This record gives sequence, C-alpha cells and structure tokens, in this order.
Amino acid sequence: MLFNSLDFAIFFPLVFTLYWVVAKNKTARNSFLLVASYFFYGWWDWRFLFLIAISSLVDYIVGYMLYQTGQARRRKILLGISLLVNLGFLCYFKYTNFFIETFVDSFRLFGKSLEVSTLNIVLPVGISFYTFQTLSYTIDVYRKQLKPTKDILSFFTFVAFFPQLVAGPIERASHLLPQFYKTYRFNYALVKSGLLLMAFGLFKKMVIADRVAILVNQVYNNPQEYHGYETIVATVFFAFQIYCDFSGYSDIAIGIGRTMGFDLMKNFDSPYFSKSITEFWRRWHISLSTWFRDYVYIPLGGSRKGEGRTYFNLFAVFLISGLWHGAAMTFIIWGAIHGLIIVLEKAVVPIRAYAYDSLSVNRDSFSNKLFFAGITFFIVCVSWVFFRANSLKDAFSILSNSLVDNYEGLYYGGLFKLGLDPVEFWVAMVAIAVLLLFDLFHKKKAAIQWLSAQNMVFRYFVYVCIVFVILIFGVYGDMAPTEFIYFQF
Amino acid sequence: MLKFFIRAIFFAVLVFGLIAFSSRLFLNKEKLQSIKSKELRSDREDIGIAFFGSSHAYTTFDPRVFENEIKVKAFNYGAPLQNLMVTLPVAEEVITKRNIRLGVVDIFQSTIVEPPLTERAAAFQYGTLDYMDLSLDKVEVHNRLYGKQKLLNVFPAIREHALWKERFFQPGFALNRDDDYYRGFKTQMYFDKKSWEKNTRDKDTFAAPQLIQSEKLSEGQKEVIDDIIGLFREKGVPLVFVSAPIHRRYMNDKYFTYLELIKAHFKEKGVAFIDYNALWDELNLHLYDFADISHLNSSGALKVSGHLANYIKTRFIGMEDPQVPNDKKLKANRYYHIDTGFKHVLGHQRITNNSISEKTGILEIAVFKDAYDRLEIVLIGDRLKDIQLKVSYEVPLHETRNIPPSVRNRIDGNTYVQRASLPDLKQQSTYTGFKYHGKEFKVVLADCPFTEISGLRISVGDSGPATRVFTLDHLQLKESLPTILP
Repeated sequence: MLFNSLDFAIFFPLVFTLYWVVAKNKTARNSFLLVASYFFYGWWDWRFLFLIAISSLVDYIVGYMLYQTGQARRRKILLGISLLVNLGFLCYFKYTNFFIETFVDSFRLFGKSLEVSTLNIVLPVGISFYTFQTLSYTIDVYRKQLKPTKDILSFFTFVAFFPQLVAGPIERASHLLPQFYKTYRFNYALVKSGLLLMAFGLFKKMVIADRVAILVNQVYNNPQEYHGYETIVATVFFAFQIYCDFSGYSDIAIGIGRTMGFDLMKNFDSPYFSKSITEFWRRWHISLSTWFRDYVYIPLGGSRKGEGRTYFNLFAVFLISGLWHGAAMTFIIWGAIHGLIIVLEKAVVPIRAYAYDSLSVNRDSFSNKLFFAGITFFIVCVSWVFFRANSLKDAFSILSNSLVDNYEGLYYGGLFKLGLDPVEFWVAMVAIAVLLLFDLFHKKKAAIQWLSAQNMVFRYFVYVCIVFVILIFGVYGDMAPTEFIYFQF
Repeated sequence: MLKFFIRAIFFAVLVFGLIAFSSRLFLNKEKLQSIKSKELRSDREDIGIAFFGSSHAYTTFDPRVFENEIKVKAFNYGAPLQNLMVTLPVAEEVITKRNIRLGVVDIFQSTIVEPPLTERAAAFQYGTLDYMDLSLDKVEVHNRLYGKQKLLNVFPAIREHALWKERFFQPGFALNRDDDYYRGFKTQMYFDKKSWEKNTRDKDTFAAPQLIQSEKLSEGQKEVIDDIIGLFREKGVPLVFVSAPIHRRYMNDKYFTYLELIKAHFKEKGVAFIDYNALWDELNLHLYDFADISHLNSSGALKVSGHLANYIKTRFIGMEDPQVPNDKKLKANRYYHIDTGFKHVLGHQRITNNSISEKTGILEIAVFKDAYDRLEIVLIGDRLKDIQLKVSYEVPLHETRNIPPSVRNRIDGNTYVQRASLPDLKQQSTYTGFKYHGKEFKVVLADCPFTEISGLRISVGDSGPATRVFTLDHLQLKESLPTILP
C-alpha cells in the first residue's frame, strides 16, 4: 500500500481511529498494530509476509538465546544464524541476479561467454529496511547493549510497524522497541503536528518529486539525445526528486508514527545545505548512515586502527552502502564517489585548517558556507548521475553530454521542451523554492509550532491551502499513485 | 480525543465541500458539462419536461419548440453516450429537485450497453455525472462504472486537476463557437455536404435492415430499462421513450434489431415509445436534416421536436406552465418570436425593396438577443435563396478591453463588421435554413458582448450585401427586453 494512494487514504483514518479506541490496552493495541501492519504489507503481496514473520521469529529466538548463554562461541553461532537468515534472504532476493550477471560479464572480459540465465525473482518491498532493523536488534543484544525482549508481540510489531516498514527510517531496537511497551494518551498537539508532517511529506512527493520526475525521466531515459543545460537541469532536478521522494516518505512515516504517539528517528536534516560530503551524510538518510557507522564502520575498526585503515573503512562502508541501495554497478560507483570524497575530505583536514589560518578566512562567513555548500551540491549531483542512470554507459553519456555547450537553446525555450511546459516548470521551481525556504526557516524555528500559535481561522486557512495545493498541483495521473523511489531498495 | 475527531470531521467536510464547490472551475468551459452545469445552477426553477439520453437526445429535442408550442419549460439533459444506467440517478435527481411533469428518454442500442463499458464509453459518462449534485446515488453509479480505485474521480477538481492551467485561464466567452446550447440542446448543427460525402463514401446503396433472430435483450438490459420505468412510476411522473432518427440508409441490422426488441419490451410493459426512425416519411426527413449519419441537425431537430411537442400536447393535457409564456424568459426563443410576429424583439423590418425580395426571397428581418450575448438575425421569406449579408455596428470603445479576440478581430476602428453567406438549399453546401409553421427562415449570429451599441446596419444581396435593409441608431442591450419597432 502506498502512502499516496486512495487505499491508504481509507486505511489510515480507520487504523488511526481504531488504534485510539484500543490504545489504553497495550496488548490489544500492539495486536491491532501488528494486524494492521501485516495487512498494510500484505496489500502489496501477502506471500512475503512469511519472510517478515520468519525474520522476526528467528531474531526473537536468537535474541532470547543470546541472553541466556554466556559462551562466546555459542553466542557467535547464534549471531551467525541471525546474519545468515537475514542477509541470506536479502542476498537471495536482491543480489542473486546481480552476482550471476557480474559472473557472466567477468568471463566475457576474458573473451569467454557463459550461457547462464538469470532467475525470475521478485524483490520483496522494503526487505533492505526491515532486514537492517531486525539485525540491529540481534547485534545490540549480542553486544549486550540491549536487553532482549520477552514480549514477542511487541517485537513482531517493532519489525513490521507499518509506517516505516517499507522505506524506513531504519529504527534501532533500543529506540523503537521500548515504545511498544508504553501506553499512550491521546495528545492533540502531537496528532496535529503528525498530520501536518504527513501533509508536508505528500507535498514533497506529489508536487515536487513526481513533477520533476517527468523531466528527469525524459532526459535520463534518452541520454543520447540531450546535452549541456538539458542534462544539467535534469540532474539538478533529480537531486530534488530523490530528496523530496525519500524525505517525503520519511516525513509521512514519522508523521503517522507521531499521530499514534510513536517517535520515529529523524531521517533528513536539510542535506543540500551541507558544506561537505561528510556533513551531507550526517544529514542525508541519517538512519542508514548511523546504522552503517554502528554496525559496519566501527566493527571494521573505525578510526581506531590508524589513518590508512580509517580511510579504508570509510571507503568500504560507502561501497557497501552503494550495494545496499541497488544491485548494479551504477550504485557501487555512486557509493565509491562518496567514499572517495569523504576520504579526501578527511585527508585534507590539516591542509584546509592551514589554508584558513594563512588566508585569515572566516569559516563561519556566509560566503565561505555558500562556496562549500555549492561545491558539495555539485559533487552530490555528479554522483546522482550514477545513481539515476539506467546503466553505466548512460551515466558516462550524461556526464560527457553535460559538457556540450548548447546554451543558446535556452533563448529559444529549450528548457520547456524537456517534458514540462513553462507553467509546470515554474510550478516545480516555485515548489522547490518553498521547500528550501521551509528547510531554512524550519531550522531556525519549528514551522509547526509557529503555525500552532496562530489563530484558528488562519490555521484552518493554511490547512485547507495545503490540501488544495497537493490536490491541484500534485501529480497523480488518473488516480494511479507513483511508487516511492526507495521502495526498490 | 473527542475534540480532535469533531474537528477532523469538520475539516473533512470543509475540504470535501470546497472540492465539490470548486469542481465546476475544472470543467471545460467550452464543453457540454460546463455549460449545462452553469445553466442548471443559474436557474433552479422547476422544469416541465426533461429529456434524457445520449447525443441523439441533445441534438434532437429542442426545448425552444416545447416552450413555444406547449408553453412549458424544458431542459435537455442529454450527454455524449449517456448510458441508461447513468440516466437513472440523473432522472431521480431531476424528478426530485426540479419537479418535472414529463420525462422523455431517448433509447437505442448503445444506451443500454451493460458494464463493463469500454474505456471510451465509460469516460463519456462524466458528461452526465458532472452535472449531478454530489449524492450517494452518484457515488454508487460512479463506483459501478469505474471501480473504487477511481472513486475520487467523481470530483472534477481531482479528476481534471492536471488541467488547472487550461481551465483556470480558459475564457468563459461563449461567442463564435460551434458548441452552443439552449437549455442543454445543441443549437448549431448543420448539414455539410463535404463532410457528409467524406464520411459516407462507402454507402451508396440502400438495403432494408434485417432482423437478427439471435439477438435478445439481456436480463441486465431489461433491468435497467425497467428501473427507469419503475422510477417514473414510483414518482408518479409520466414517461415517454423515444428513439431519435438516424439516416435510414445507414441503419444496420443490429441497430434495427435492437429497436425492435426495445419496442417489444415497451409493448409488454405498457410504456409509450415513439420510434422516429419509423416516421421518416411522416416527418418528411431529408438528407439536409442530418449533421451526420446518426445525428439530426437543427433543421431535423425542429421537425422531430415539433412532432413530439404535438404528441405531448394532445396526450398530456395540462402540461402548460403558468409562468410561460413570459416575454422575459422567452426573449431568446426564436420560435416564440416567429409565432408572435416579432412583437417583442430589438428590431423588425419588412423588406419593401421588391428587387431585393425577388433576388433573395427575404420578406422580413428581425433582430433579437440570444442566450449568449449575440444578436440573432432572422431572415424570413416564403422561399429563401442565396443570401449574402453584412452586419455592422459601432461599438463602445471603453467596453472592448475584455472582449474575446474572435470579436476584437472583427472590429475595425470602432465598427464591428460581420459578413455571412447563407446558400440556398439547392447548393447542397452548409445549409442553415429552417421551416417553422409554414415560414422559411435563416439565422445569422453576430457577436455583441456590449451593454449598448449604435448604428446597427444590415445589408443583404444575392451576390453581395449590396442593399441596406435594416438600421437602428441605438440599442441598449443590457435592458431586459426593449421593444423597438422602426
């Protein structure tokens, strides 16, 4: 079920209402949430519910047994079982065909050809997300950072909690699981702020992401035909498409959780205002980057084993992150670019400090921030080319075509021949400007709090405007909702 | 919690109310739905006779004829491919809200097609649904036609939201266009020889249609027909089923068979049914009465409407509306003006120049205002020939700022000029002539979106508009009905 579908528009009010009817009874509430979450997931394909159930059951048992045993070897075996089951499912469903193709391609490099056909495997929606979420539980219990739960119902609900089941935020058991032990009282302000956050998420998804997607798809699906400003505009638009698509989903997920009293972790924090790639990853998909930090980077040694190993660890984490996003070389290169830049940024820290001191540059000056934010955005955009392109060949075509000077075409309205007519184009631009202003404004003062302080007539006027902006300017052709990009990961 | 739910319900009602209210903004202002919605909303009075059906209905039953002949207010609810399944809730709403005293439902093979409808046929049903008020019936029939996934499409504001640019900035001018309606009836339908020949090239011979024995009305088809009959009976409103004529040369076996099956079903049910295909000779229908093979033009519509009006007048006594005739309401009804000798028009002139009358056949010219801010110029004679006509008037320049380009282009200096060519029937070109109560007339429409004009001049001739036959120094058009008889 998609958040931007009519199905969900019926599902959510029903679930929300019934949830608050049973909210006082913890068991009834968690049972209801579990059924609702399974229904939500099963709406897409009920057969894959078994995967979630198996994953949940294995980790629940492993967690329980880990707590019972003190033997290091046995504990390792138990952790291994959890990793094997969870990563086994993930690898089978997500990477089998990628490994087969890579294997065949590598033979081709040596002039040999193999006749191996790929498998017809359907990728279960959200498998990358809930696998990481449930793994965090087992690893934390293994590390003795978390006491395992005896409450199987809460655990199953934690794994399948429908707001963040299919595209995150990837919650840690230590943060989310205890929330299922509590009982909640209806909090009007919290519910209202949750609904507003959901509306803002829908605005990002339906008004911005799905609108700019029209232009992006036209250019990226025909990369040979577009050059210069065309590919540049498409790439910049993609940067906003993926941001609005994914952060929009996160906003809706967090908003839903909030309406039911749950606090889901923040996933985005105005990432395009970052002044370095390192900072970008502190603001972009925060739940994933912190997951990799805690469960991959630190176990690899983090920064404790010397400079060279630190660089290696950083680079490795981003390579894995690329692979997590998608089973294709384009994603691995995308991860590699980020890894490489982060390594470089770390390596030049002393040089940068020396340069600042020598040239007496104020690091906090607006011009300095703007300059580095611009550089960072440029690097992020270059990397997005690999992320979005349909193949490596297409990615390189886009990059090389971007260098072609065809700017005279701008005078002849070339900008409006990329799938968006002038009005649609400017609607997209205005919406992006509103988004950036909101990001900027929100950092200084919580917009929702500000709105809550206004009088009722004004508030209702704003609410109605938000709904109508989404309804009129949203892109939802013939009531068919568009999938969120991160559903494929 | 209670406070929240009360506010949430209030907010949902507010939003849905606004969506429903704003939906009319999203209708194509040049299309039937928008025009009918506007007409229906601007006039909430009772309706005496309501017509339902597909395009056959809205090109055949001219409310002006019924207004003039029976003195009853009529409205044509016909819409493209209107299925009887959709007619049912519309008729129910109309019966309840407009207190109709007679329903006329056009029926033929395509209007009784059962779901699932083809994508095209399903899409056309919005033509009817869009001028229904929001109700459970409307939602139910929408759900039946399109499924729950498209339920919100019931609101044009949602269904057509992507067209906001076109719709918000679409001028509402109803001038100089082909789609004119008078109470739901499409008024500008003509015979055009070129398009006729283009579309009918393959059908030169006429073969009488044959009954297909294997065809039967399905239970579903009978059910939807019976539902309509049941509705009208339940509400105590008389009902007449009709079938508008199509050109007999192009009636195929299936169309003919279904007409016969429908006829037999109505006989069994004891319901009045007039098949105008069977009255071809009685109505003296001619090629020039058609716009295309399955739709009458304005001339053919006049003949069928006249016949139906007469039928209703003799069968349904007491249909007259006490408020009709009313000069104010009938000011745009050309048949009323013809019948009343043009006593209530802006201007009327008899042609005294014999040579002009001989060359053109015109004996009288009358000018009045139609429903769309235009001057309707009616030329009357016993036998109208080729006519060239020129209309000119001086426009108030301060009112030209907001007029549509189509009108502005006709203004030279401060003079609006329009020329028209009204060829004779014999030329078999675009024929624009009619016969009503023994008088032959032709009509020219001249845009006039002004509150007043001066120096109205009309010149006519056979090979060019040579002789001025009509002059009016000043016209106040905003007034309800000035009577100026020069």
